[in-house]
Amino acid sequence: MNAIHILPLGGARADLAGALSPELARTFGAAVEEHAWDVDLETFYNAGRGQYNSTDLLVHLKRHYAPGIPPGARVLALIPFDLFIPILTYVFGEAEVGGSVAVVSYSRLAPERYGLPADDALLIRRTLKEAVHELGHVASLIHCSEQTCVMHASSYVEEIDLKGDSFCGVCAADLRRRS
Amino acid sequence: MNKCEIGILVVDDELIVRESLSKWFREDGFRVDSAESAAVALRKLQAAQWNLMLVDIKMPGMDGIELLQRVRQTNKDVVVIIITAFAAVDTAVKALKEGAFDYITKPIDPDYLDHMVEKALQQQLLLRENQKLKDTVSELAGPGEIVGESPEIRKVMDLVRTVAPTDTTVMIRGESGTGKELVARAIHAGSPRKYFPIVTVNCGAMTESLLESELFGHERGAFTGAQYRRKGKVELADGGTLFLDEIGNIDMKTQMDLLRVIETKQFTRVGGTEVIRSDFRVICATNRDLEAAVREGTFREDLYYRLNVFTVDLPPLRGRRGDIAKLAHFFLEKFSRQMNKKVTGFSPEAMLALKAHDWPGNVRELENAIERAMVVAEGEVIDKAHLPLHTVATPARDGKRLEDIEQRHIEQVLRENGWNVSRSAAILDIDRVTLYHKIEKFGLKRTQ
Repeated sequence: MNAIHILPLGGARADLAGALSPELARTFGAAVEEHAWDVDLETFYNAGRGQYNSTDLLVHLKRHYAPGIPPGARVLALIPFDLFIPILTYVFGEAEVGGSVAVVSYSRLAPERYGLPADDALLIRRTLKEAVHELGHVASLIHCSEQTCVMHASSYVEEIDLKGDSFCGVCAADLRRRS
Repeated sequence: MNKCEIGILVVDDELIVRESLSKWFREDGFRVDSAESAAVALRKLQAAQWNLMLVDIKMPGMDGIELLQRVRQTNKDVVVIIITAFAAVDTAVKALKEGAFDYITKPIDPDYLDHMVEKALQQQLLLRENQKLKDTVSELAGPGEIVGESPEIRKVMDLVRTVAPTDTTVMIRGESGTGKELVARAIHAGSPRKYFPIVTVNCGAMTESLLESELFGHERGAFTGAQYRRKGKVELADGGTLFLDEIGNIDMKTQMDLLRVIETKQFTRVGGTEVIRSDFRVICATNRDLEAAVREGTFREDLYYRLNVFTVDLPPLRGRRGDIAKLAHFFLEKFSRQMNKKVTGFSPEAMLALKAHDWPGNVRELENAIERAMVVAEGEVIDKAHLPLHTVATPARDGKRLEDIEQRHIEQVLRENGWNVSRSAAILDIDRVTLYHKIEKFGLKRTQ
């Protein structure tokens, strides 16, 4: 099975990446490898918005990291900073639909951002759901109307909490067909 | 509708905006395309079906507002959401006035965008469903059953088409069975009131007090047996059409009440004091010579002129024999479907008999004859023997039957009283409605 490369960037928590690995391996039936990659994230920083441009980061990953991995392998960048795409106020993550690269930010997934006590287990669950969601897009899956499916679109953390971390029957079948 | 069947067109001169939004909606499963200018958008609008357009208000050349105006000239269906760089109220208001669904400011909150798109598509779906239902109603209520191609019936159809879209009061005249109610329904179906009911009142079949209650309704306890408040037909026709069948048979008091409600569109229920308003159009029908009734003093002249604004005269079936074959086939198909019988046509003898018959009961009699023939027919063709024409044809009278004596006596009383129906009814000791039924039954006509 094609491997998944996890890249913790910008000082992303290594323990978080470590917690994702076995779950992603189980969900996608793939080997998950953690890699380090030296990239200057400031290139993607927008001072006016105080956020990082996820689309530009994806393009950079596609051009400079993806060519070095085996054909069929996928890349998931994990960053601690807030992401945006130019037309939207923020995004939790972004993926190249039907491609090979995806990025997830856990900046808005931490409970303390909303004035709540830190909760690592909750942060891991949320990050895992977003990671599976974006890798689902990489596998060409689109948003699902089933509210408990991990491919259900989420704009707020509450919506992430409502959905599960696995694919519904329809999306799972679609994923198998595309694998 | 599946999301992949819903088309979204993103119109923005900035590549990054087009790409971001297109990707966002593609992930949702929509069919998405983009245009870098208003001109390209108009071309894409011609080339494919789009449900929703997201249009940037500020673009070089034709701006978003002008594009919106152009879109609205040719396509009323597509939903347009305007994207502005900042919340400029005046521009947003202008966009809404020009028919935009809503506007959003950049950068867009992803949750807000999803909700707005969902809301816009839901509204479009409801509008489409509404239009579809209206079309279905129009199709069902259309003048589909006015059958015939003779010059006489074509003239009737022309009159129906002319008067239907107006709010004019219509009087339909014709012998019994010529299809007066059908024409009334066709006029209603072609009018702007078609989405409201057409309420029929058969004025000839009721006594004075019953007709009053039927027309205006009654309050609880208004008379013995009035246990509940009941709305009258005038009230039920609010927004629609009030069809007064056999208008010539109503008594003088109800004529006065009717005149008042037609003029003021206000009335009170029987036993009530509350003034009720009702907006209705009046179509009436009669098989009587109302002008004669006015001369005789049995029909109010003012009501006659109020009702007789536009007249549609229906020819008797014997006056449009060219339509008999077409009507016969129409009823044959209708009853074939209803009875689930495979009867495909008429034998030449049967058709000759149908065309030769006088049809005193007009189209209704023809319909009944075909229905009976369909019941008794065993093969695929209706024969002359299946047709009940011998029973409806005018029988040879030997003058000794009780009915013959009754007919002669009524004719004589009417003649002696100058066809004054009220006076004749009093002499015969029967009510006027019964006398009208007898006149109709025996086919009595005034001779000069």
